Amino acid sequence: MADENRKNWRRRLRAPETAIKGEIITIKTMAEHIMEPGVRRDPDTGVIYPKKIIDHVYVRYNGKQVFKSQWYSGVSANPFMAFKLKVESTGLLEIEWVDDYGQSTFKRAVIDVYNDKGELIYPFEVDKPGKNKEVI
Amino acid sequence: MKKIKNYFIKFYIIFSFLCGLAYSEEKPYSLNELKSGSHFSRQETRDIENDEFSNPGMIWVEKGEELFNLIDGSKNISCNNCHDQSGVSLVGVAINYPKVDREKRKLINLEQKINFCRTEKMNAESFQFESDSLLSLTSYITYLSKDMAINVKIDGDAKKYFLKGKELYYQRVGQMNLACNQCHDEIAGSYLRSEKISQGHVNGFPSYLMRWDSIASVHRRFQFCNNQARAEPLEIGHPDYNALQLYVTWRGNSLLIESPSVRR
Repeated sequence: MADENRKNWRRRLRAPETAIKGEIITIKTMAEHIMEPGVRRDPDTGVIYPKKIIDHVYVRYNGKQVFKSQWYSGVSANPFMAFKLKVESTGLLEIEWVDDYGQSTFKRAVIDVYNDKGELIYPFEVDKPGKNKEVI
Repeated sequence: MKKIKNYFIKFYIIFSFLCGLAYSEEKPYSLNELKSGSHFSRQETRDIENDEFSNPGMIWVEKGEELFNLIDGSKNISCNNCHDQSGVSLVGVAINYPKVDREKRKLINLEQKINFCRTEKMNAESFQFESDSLLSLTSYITYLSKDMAINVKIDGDAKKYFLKGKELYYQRVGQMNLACNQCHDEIAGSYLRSEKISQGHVNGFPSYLMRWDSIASVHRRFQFCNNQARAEPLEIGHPDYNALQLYVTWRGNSLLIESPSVRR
């Protein structure tokens, strides 16, 4: 039987696989989480359910932070987040969700970015063949 | 020629008596008037429902698919071993439930059928009602027959349950002295505080209800309805709720299944 108290909750990320340079793409994310606000009580015993929410979300592109968002106890369960991103080069998109218990979960996707001629743009400079480099 | 006609009429009379007159009854809504619950919800809610990514109910469907392939019980088999691999597909099964089970000789719904399958065919423990695992499996199996028309049978063995369900549907309950038909047949489409009253079809269940942040079964929704009429709710899986579910599902025959739907 699947463990109902498992720690690795489901994370979903939808990003386009390819894009044109300078294009603004939409990225959708969803995290499976109970988002317990810490004020609800058990109807029978009156015990307060302990607070457990996702309080930080980081978005990184090629290791560089695009933005960070802070969430508080009003966010609904299974939070859905969508944002737009302008891409200039091929890269690794990484979303990090952090609990208030400090537990991080990640979801990653690679976006291939092409220019108008249909060439892949690398996030780093590539030496062209035939170009001699002087080595000291 | 006349003789043949007479013969046919006699044959028809005898045949229909044998079959319990092929029981049929008039529905409260005609085919043109039938409206699914999503018709009464807001545009924003419908947008969430129609996009499979933003629909939170799909999390349960994915979990259910995992459970479907999970080996469990002393026989070391999963649901997949019997159903998909040996060709007995579950696509289109959900449109027939609740129905009278041949072995059990009583009316059961999909949740109870899953539990019977687990205890008797797999020798595994049955799931608790409204547990995460049972809801996941139910929503996965219902999702397999998405966009198929509901078609429950009310003749034969199911007739007595159907009549019981009909009686319950028109029975006034609770402090408010309300029956189901007073809202869902007579004033459907008008507002009850901030929400529109739907026609009360269950083609979207198991459905993601935003007020509970979770998938809910039909029986839990019945309990909530009873609570709102200030009546004493029955427990989940009660035979009376099954009968009521049969009647309510039959009201929406020929509606398309849209589980997991999103409702407020």
